[in-house]
Amino acid sequence: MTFLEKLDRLDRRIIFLIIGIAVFTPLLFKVPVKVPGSPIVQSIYEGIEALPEGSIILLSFDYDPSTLAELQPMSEAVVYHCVQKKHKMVFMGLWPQGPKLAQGIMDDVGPRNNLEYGVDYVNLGYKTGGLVLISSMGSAITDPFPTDTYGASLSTLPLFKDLKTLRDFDYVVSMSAGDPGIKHWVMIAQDRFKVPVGGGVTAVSAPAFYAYYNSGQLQGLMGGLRGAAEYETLIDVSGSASLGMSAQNWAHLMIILFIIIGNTTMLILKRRKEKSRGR
Amino acid sequence: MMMTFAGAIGIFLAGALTLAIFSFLYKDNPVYKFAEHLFIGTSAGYWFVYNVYNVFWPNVIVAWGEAEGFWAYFNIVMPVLLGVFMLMRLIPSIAWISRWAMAFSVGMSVGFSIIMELQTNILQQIGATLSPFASLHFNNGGTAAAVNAIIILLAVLSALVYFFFSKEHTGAYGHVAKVGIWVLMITFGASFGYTVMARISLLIGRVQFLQEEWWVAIKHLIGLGS
Amino acid sequence: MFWKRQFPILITAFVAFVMIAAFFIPKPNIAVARDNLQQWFLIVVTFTMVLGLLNLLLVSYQKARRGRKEDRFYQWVTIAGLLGTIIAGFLGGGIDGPAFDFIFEHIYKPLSATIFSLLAFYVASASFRAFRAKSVMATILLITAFIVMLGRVPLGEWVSGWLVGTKFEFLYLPTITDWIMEVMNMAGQRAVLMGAALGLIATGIKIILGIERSYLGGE
Repeated sequence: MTFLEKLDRLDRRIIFLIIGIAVFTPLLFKVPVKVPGSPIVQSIYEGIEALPEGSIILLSFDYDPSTLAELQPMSEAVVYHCVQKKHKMVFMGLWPQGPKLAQGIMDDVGPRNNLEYGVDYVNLGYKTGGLVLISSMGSAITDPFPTDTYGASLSTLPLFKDLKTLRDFDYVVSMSAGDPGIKHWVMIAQDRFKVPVGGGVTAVSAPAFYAYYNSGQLQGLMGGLRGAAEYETLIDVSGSASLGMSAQNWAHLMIILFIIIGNTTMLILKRRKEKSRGR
Repeated sequence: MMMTFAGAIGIFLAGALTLAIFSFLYKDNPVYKFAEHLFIGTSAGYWFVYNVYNVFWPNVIVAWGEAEGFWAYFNIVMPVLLGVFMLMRLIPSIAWISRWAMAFSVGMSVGFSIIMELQTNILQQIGATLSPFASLHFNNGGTAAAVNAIIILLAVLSALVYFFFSKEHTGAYGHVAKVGIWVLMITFGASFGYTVMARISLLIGRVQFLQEEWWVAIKHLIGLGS
Repeated sequence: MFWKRQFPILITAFVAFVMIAAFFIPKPNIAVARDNLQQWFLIVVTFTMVLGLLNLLLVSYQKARRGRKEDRFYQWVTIAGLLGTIIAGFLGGGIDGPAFDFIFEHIYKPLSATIFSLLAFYVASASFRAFRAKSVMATILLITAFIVMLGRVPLGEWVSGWLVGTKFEFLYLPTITDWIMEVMNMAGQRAVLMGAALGLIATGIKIILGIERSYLGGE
């Protein structure tokens, strides 16, 4: 067996090892990579930045830990931005894991910034229903959410004194890993109730949402870890996304090399086969 | 970062489970299988607990306590009844009753999606494709936007032609469909690039956890760290 | 027979009709009906989750008792994980309690995140073995993927940064990537969105009219 034939049948565990090293090594050095904000990320930043202090932002955590690495840095970045701008935050989740992940951020951010639960932020929790739930919030938030996630009646929370329907939110941010998710916020919150919607999605689904961004149905979008890193640059914070970009860099390089090697090997072996047949 | 002993134990366990899953990369093994089945169990349990606390309790039990008048009670009893019908699926002799609940859910989803798909994904998208032509111009720096608008219109149309299978893809129609395939290939190529980015990010997240939390917890447990 | 076949179709048609009518007819009565049905839906869907859970429990239990011998232990692990989480949720202080928190933070979260991170390794392996430029179409796909992969990481800026300020600035990789994403990719995705929406609407109408009834199961 020639070298090229061996290469063509390379044990996949060697490839696993190479990609593992390509990710592991750069992260050892903890060098944050600042990436400039692209227009699509810039516009969600500007949307939140332009709101007057004390605006009420709905942050929907529509994901679970399987996409934590991509979406949690975005959520953190948007929360930091809202705190910087002194906006009020209402958290919820179309996925049951969402409110718990939101709570994880607020357990850290809340006390550090002297935020008061019920006044500066509220965690509504999770409800089933997706599209129908959002539509129901358009009639009255208390219809689907008579209480917050901890069981407190919304009427007892100062933040909900003037907050009655979905229309009363100044901005909706959905961090979304699939269905239900940001698509449904666009459908109901933006298209029906005209509340601006922006957010973040996993890189896998990001390309699909460019159509909504182009049509103006989506104010802005963070796509994957890169999107989160861009947002971190915009709010001048070095979070886990900026730290992860160095590993992303090397891993992409390795993948590109794999594709080149795989294709070159295939071409050479194919030529050789044709030649030997010709003989 | 200050770490408690219990916290360190928790993080150590999380790291051990992370490595248990990674062991699959070498080959399938009992440790991986254990972790995988534990994931299925805890995941289902989590969904159940959250549904009870965040939906069933406030929207049924608390709502029942606060209900006033016939219709308020009716609006709680009916969905619960339909929900119970749904569970009848588990009893083969009366499983057909679950169809009523299923029919209700499907009716709701269909009613909503017909309207919203039409508005969001068809009318608005057509509007966004055509609206740039209202102000199309090739001067004062408008050339790039104009060219892009034309490319977008042609690309959308050709891809839609490719999707339309009721007419055979031959002749001029076939050529347009061919352009449509090219557009779709570029689209899928972009999606592929983004998919690679997504998958690598997930691995980055786990490696960051192992380096920044798990390692610190181990040092704490063996008395090397704070 | 009516209750088994026609009645469910009537329920679907009625409910879907109310939802569509509420969108077009601004009458308070219809809006109230819609709001109530929306509330119903949230609760009914919750029972679907319960159904899924009971199903998992039953299947796991059956496999644990009568399945392949070497797999039985793992079925008990699933059952123990499920019941353990439920007990922690109900007896350990609720969703905010320490026991439920511990299971979420230190068991469920790492397992979920790691299982999906395995995909990174498989995408790498596939890029070596499967992503081959065997046709013009596959080549277009690969070239686009190359540009996007480079353009979305700092590497793309480093290798093409020297073009900035020259007359070939349009070849700067992040710029090309942005153009691909916002023009070509966007157009393709828009066509996919519109095509899928048309398909969904057609299926929806068939369901309302009772032509499509596979969702009701067999018989």
